[in-house]
Amino acid sequence: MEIPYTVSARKDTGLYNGKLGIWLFLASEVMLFGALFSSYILIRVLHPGWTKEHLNVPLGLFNTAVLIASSVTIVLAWASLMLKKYNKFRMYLAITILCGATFMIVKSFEYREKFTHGHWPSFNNFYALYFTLTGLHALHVLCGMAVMTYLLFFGRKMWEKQPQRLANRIEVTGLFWHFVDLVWIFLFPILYLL
Amino acid sequence: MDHATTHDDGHAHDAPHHEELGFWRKYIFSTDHKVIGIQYGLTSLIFLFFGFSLMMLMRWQLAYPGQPLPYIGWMFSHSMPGGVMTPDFYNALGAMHGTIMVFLGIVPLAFGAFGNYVVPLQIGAPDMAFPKLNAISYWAYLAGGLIMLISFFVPGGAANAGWTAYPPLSVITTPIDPKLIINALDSSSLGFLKSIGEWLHHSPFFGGVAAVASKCWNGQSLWLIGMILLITSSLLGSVNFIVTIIQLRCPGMTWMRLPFFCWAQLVTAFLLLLAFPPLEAAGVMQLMDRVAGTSFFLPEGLNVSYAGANVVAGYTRAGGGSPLLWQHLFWFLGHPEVYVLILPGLGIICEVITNNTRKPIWGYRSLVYSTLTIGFLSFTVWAHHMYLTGMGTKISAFFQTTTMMISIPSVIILTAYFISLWGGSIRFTTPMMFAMAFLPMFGIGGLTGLPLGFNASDIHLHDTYYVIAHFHYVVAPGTIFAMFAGIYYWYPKATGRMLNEKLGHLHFWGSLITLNGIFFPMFIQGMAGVSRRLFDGGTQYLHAEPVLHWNEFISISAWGLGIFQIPFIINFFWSIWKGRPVANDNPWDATTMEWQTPTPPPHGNFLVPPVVKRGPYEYSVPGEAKDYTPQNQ
Amino acid sequence: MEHQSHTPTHAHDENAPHAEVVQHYTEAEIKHHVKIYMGVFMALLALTLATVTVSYFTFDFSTTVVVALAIASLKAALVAAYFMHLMSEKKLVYLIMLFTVVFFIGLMLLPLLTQSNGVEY
Repeated sequence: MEIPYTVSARKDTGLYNGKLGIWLFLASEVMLFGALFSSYILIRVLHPGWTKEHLNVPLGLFNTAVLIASSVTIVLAWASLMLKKYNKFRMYLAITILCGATFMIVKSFEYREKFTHGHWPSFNNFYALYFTLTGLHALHVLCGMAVMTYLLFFGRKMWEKQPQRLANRIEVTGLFWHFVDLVWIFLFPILYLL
Repeated sequence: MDHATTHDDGHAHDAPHHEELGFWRKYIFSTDHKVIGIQYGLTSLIFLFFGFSLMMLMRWQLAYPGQPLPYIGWMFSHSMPGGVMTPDFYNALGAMHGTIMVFLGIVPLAFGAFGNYVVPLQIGAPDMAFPKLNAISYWAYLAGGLIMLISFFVPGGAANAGWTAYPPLSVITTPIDPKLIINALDSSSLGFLKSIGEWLHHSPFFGGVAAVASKCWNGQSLWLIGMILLITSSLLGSVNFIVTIIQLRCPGMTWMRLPFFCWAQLVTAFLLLLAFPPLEAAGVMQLMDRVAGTSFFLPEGLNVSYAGANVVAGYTRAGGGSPLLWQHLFWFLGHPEVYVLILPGLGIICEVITNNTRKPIWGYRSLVYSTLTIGFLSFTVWAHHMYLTGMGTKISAFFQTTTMMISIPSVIILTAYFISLWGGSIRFTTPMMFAMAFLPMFGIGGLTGLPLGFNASDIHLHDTYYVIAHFHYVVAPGTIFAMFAGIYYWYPKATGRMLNEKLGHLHFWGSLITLNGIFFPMFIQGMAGVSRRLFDGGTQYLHAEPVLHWNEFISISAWGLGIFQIPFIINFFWSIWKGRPVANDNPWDATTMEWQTPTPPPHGNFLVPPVVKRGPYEYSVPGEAKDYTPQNQ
Repeated sequence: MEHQSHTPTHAHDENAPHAEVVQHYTEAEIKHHVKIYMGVFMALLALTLATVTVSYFTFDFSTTVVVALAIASLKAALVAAYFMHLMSEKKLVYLIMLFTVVFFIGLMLLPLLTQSNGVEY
């Protein structure tokens, strides 16, 4: 028994199942982060005692550039697959993962710096929101990296037997990764600059 | 073309299919939507029974406040010393009754069980779009449910801040010092665990983990963790449903030929997809408030003290948070959630009514457009649960307006069902009895929502028994009747046997009468001003005195309702082995696709790839030989 | 940015079980896409620098918020439109995301509007 449209697209929707699935999942993620953004707005705007803390803007800027670059490399990885250039695909995918790792390393450095100064989430609501927002985001970065690492090392078999299916998986992973980048694009100015 | 009345070549078609799966992969960790549907069904029915039992316990206290529980009181000696209910235990029962019935009972039954089993069959698909994800959804649900059940047995007992878990109460209840747990271990038979506990406590990494874990070892925190698992389960499930319904419809199954049941499930899935995540975020935030010391929901200057409070002394927090923030995030889900509760039921009622009147449902298009409208509007009404929180009149009027607007499509749907009865050849089968009773009962529930939706009248009625009566009318003789209708209707499909009609009618009449006995007097009590969640049932208030005599009547009706579920339980299990076998694959002479395949269906569902040629409810088509014409004919 | 070669590789009867489509892109199309990706990348970097630069100017609070969110939204739109191919994506996906954004905005604004004491920073 085979589930139709797992690899090729259904004509009237123009989508294969995984692509529709990931867009739906991303819609739910928009609402998830939306709740946190809404919380930020409500707590900051309406409640006394809000203190704007200082975060390391150059580091944040660097991280933003790293994530944007990784968004480019994942889409180049997909393009390479469509051009049937498997090794180039692996190179771009590896760079994407490395960018993600760089982001995580910088983030952990930032977190450590805050913790050693006693700025835990319980310190005040700015830090509570900062750690929750960036922590949830970092969790998503890690999950994306995990999936990409799996595809990097175990993709060859699928490439040989069902190349379109692998391309689809990369496309779906890419969509998730772009979303992760997108969230950071909003997090950076809101937390670091405003 | 009249496929299989023969069941034996069920696997002939499955040539490319793999080898036979072992017992565990076939029945326990299956990815087949029918098995998963049955898993959801059985699990949710057990949870419903458990949640119902909690309520029956509560009703003893309300009928006879302060009296020891006879015969079985000794079973609860820990929470009910001497058999007498404590306020904390009463609140725990109330909070968990609501949580279990809504999140562990009805949603998994309506969406997880019926949706999973019936939708792929009705659209002519071999399975759901993502079978493995489907299995994960079920196991996440079970895990969340078990965590909720475990919470009854941890120090401090289960969550007792209401199913709505409002802070600050939900944040400050029973955080437990880890040392207390370790010390408690010492005096129990599990003393050997104490040394492990002490070692953990001293190790830096494990000590940290253990400290956090022990802070979660209480009712409210486990409630939050359970909710996070349940929400994740629902989210994965909703992605599956939407992709399945959009992508896996068989050839010929256009949107306007889709059975209304599938439309209802589609909109339900969208509600779950977009409304649940804010509650997941809020749940994480409340957990952080309890465990990590944050103040998302705690305002500045909070003063905590009450008699017997199981609270760590010297309560200091940064403050600056907002209890109202929780309410917004909770009700942002909470309102779409009630449409999640009713929409699958409305879908089932449509199937049952059209099948048992032998005519097409009246107003198919209006049903579809009304459901889509309800889906959209349900995201815009949530603060009608918060009229008394001090919002300004303009915004209050906004929510009142959207609330009034959303009642219109609901009325259209109910009216369409009433009109569908007109001129029908009604077969008074058990499913049809439940479906017909649903109509006036849901009507009462819906109409009594109107005074609650108006902000002015809500001032008087908010948080009274009127609210309890309103929502129980929509959910109990509303949704649950629709669930029963669905069970009696589709049980033959899943088992190949019919449920006993006599027991079914007994179950029906007993339930209908006792349900009204429980909830109708509650309107009276509510209008007289009896608040909800009062452990003594209102005896502390002079103004409530004239209506308190109803408490005993309500409780007896509630226990009566429990007794009338026994014929159903007996029927359900007895009929699996001894029920009358179905005469053919389509015992109800139905038109929809799930009945045009073997009963029960094989793995892969259809023996030949299905093709749909007509609408879903072509009953009594003039000129046809039979009074029903299946969709694929 | 429409892809010209969305032709089905098998001709199928409408009622046939799976009217499936496999996508193929020509090399020229992919190279065209890559050029666009690099262009968007440059734009994103420039906008990021703009965000930081603007933050050093002192406007009143609401202007700051509006400007910051406007730049962020523009960047997000570029990522969504070009990296996520939303520009050429099927109508269905577009509709789903549109409704999601509407609800997202509702979730941002409505709780704020229910607080009647006004705003204080």
